[in-house]
Amino acid sequence: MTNADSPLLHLEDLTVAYGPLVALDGISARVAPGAVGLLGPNGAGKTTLLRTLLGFVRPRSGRVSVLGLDPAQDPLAVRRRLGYMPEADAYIAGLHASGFVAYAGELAGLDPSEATSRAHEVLDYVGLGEARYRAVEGFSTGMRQRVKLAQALVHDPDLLLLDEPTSGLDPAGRDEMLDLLQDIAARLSVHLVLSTHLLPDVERVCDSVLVVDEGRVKAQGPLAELVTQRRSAYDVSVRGDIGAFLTDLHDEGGEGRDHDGVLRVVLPEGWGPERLFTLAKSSGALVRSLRPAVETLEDVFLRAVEK
Amino acid sequence: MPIHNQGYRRRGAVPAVSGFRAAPIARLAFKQIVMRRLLIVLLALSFAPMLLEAPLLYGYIRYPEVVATVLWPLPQLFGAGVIVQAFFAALVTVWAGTSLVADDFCTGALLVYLARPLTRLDYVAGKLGVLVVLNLVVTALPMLLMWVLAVGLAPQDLRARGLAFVPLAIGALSLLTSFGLALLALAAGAVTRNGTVGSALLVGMLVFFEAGARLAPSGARLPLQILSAARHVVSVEHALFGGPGDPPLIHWSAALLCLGLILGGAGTLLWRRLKAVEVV
Amino acid sequence: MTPALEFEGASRWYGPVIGINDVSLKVAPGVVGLLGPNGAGKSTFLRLAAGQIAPNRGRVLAFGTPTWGSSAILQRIGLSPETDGLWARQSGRDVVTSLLRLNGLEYEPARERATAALARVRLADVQDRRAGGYSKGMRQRLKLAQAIAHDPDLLLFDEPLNGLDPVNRRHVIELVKTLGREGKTVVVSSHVLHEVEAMTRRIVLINKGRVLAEGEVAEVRALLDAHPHTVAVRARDVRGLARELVALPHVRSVNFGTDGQWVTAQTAEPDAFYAAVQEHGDGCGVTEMYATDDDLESVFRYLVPR
Repeated sequence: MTNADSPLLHLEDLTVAYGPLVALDGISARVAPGAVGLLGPNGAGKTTLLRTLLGFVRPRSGRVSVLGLDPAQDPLAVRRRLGYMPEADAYIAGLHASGFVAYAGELAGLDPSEATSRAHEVLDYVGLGEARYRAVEGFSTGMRQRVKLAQALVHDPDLLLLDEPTSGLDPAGRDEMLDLLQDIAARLSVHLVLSTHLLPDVERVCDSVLVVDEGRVKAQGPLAELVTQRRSAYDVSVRGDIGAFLTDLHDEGGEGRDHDGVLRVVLPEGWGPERLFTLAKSSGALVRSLRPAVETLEDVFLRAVEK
Repeated sequence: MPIHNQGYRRRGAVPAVSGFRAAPIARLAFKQIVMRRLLIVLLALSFAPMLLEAPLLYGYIRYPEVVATVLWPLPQLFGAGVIVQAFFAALVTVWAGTSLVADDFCTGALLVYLARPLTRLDYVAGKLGVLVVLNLVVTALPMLLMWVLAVGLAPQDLRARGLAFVPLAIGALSLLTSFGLALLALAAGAVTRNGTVGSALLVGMLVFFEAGARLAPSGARLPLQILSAARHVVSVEHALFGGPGDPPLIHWSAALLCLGLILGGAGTLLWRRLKAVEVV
Repeated sequence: MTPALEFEGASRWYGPVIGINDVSLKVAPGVVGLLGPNGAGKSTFLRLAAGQIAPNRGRVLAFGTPTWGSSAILQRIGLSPETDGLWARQSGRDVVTSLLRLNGLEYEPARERATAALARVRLADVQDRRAGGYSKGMRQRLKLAQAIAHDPDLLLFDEPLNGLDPVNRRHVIELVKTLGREGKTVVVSSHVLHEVEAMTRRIVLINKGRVLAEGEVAEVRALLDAHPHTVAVRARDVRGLARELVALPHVRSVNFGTDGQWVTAQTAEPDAFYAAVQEHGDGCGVTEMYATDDDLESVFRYLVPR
């Protein structure tokens, strides 16, 4: 088990190439323990990084360590402590859910009785308790995603690698899956590497991000640090005489611009946000929401990838 | 739906890998094969020739003068028996063998396997192992039983009738055919990714080349003979048991070489298909 | 004015399984989000609109003409389905060009339009590559290019952002909004609610084959009486503000946050509530205020029982 100080992932000058095509170009990163979102455009190195972490691809140069182990040296040791939830469908024909998950446990090294007991436990946890004796072929998309999660968890891994875990799920299913992932990360202290294109999923579940593009690390670090707040900038939604509101605001020395119905406002010097209410009242407008303007992860991502 | 209850407990200890990594794979493969009813029937049927062979053997040993004029020498009969059993093994393999791997390609199961602490080699070993053992049971077991019967009936004639080496020969030939059939079946399954089509491919390969080798016009015959695995097996059988029938056209060393090439090709195809599955 | 898309008492079933059940609605130009849980009938809806299947009862009309059986009206409809097509051998550009030629265009204009459509979805740099080698995101954009190439007036997109990375997601969202501004009618079916919200405020919510709600998200939200609005407020003088709020008759409940800075109130009349906060906002030092269940996710959750 890693202690709090040692990084979850440590990449040092890592270069991975397929023949002449360099997929990862001397990247370095230290990822803190916890839940990390792995982001990046398709075909830009993210997939290669995942394969390297799983020990399927050997680096041409540089070092990589996962949970303190080197997947290039001993991929089996790494995979023993890792659980992988693939994006594509993955099940074994003819087996029912508990049989399949138990089998997955056996493959990871559990003995058959322990594997069976863990399988039931895990299926309960992911919410498939009712369906455990049914064949996986007949499952809906949401259920299949849960089975994939179950088979990744059955052997009690220290790190879960998830590839688009909410793919194909309807809003309710997505919510439930993200709840599960949050629970896994927070309560069970299983580390997560979440590879996805859905930035709100990352915002909800992860503490840090790693953005990979063009074979390089474009942004990395805790979400709280990357997502900055511009002081004295606020998002205000106003009903009524918006024009008068903005004019009055400008007169007082502030700035305001309309972004699709929400006003991005910079307060005048020395003002606190509460004075906007008085301003609105005198302009004949009604303030309906007031929030500090915060960069979203999407802004961070787009900026990182543009460079 | 609220967060689910804490049924999931962290164990804290890393599970040690107990025993062979390929063991669970072999166990599941065995279960999958045995689950199909028709297979049990086939297995039972494969012991049916014994019903004919036992009395024949008895007759041979009690009345050698009469029977020897009609039939081939005893060791060669064992050889022929193994070929007959190999035919049944082929049936079993065609029925059960191709889907072992083909299904895994279809359902993405390989993603599950490969993300585990085991290698592609473990995967193949598990599947192959079960098929080979099954085939051996069908091919070698009945003939070994026959040999025991023969020795039981006439223990003193062991050396004289050339029966001493027969178990070894049975073992060698059975191993060759069992392994070959299993590998071909897995390769066919991997290439076609469909159990039924793979079976058809396998049957086609075995039957087509042999039929072609016999019936084709003389110009086309040789390449077909080279590709006919069945023919090579017969050549090896002749070398091991001394008959029956006319000596084959291809010398056993060449036959072994061709078999090696065929199986090597099949193995390469299987391996490449496995390698082509990208886990991420 | 003839609506771009109209369902008149349309029903469609597959054997005993209901696809959509007696659906009547009119879709005006602009962007509309089509939402619903899995199995709700969204695919059936889109296939009926695209003229791929006929309703068992009622009618489905595009620009006043039934969509089924009329190849003329299909010229004005573009569909980007969820499933993949089979275009392994041709290049992306060839795929779109051939489809345009099937629509009756000559080679040169077809090729020009294809190129333009592919540029719009940012596939210009891979347009001459074999479509079989495209990544998932590229295939998705190819589907979109096919749908827009012949400049149809009615566009039907099923999960248009599937497989796209965040940069392309943002790009397609902008593309959809642009198409809406151009006067086209774009129906977007998606599970990713925050992205639908980024494209449009108009939604059609269906469940079990029936329309649950239709209109602007705010309108729909306002009508959900059973769910009073929950508003969170952060203030310097939390208790002082709460005292004022509790006095109001439409405020159903008031809760304090654990850190002593927030108060969350439930109110049946949001605008009256906001007016009250505005009255006391400056005095109580309100620094943040927002409705926690005003977004599409909340509307969806309230309307679609789990």
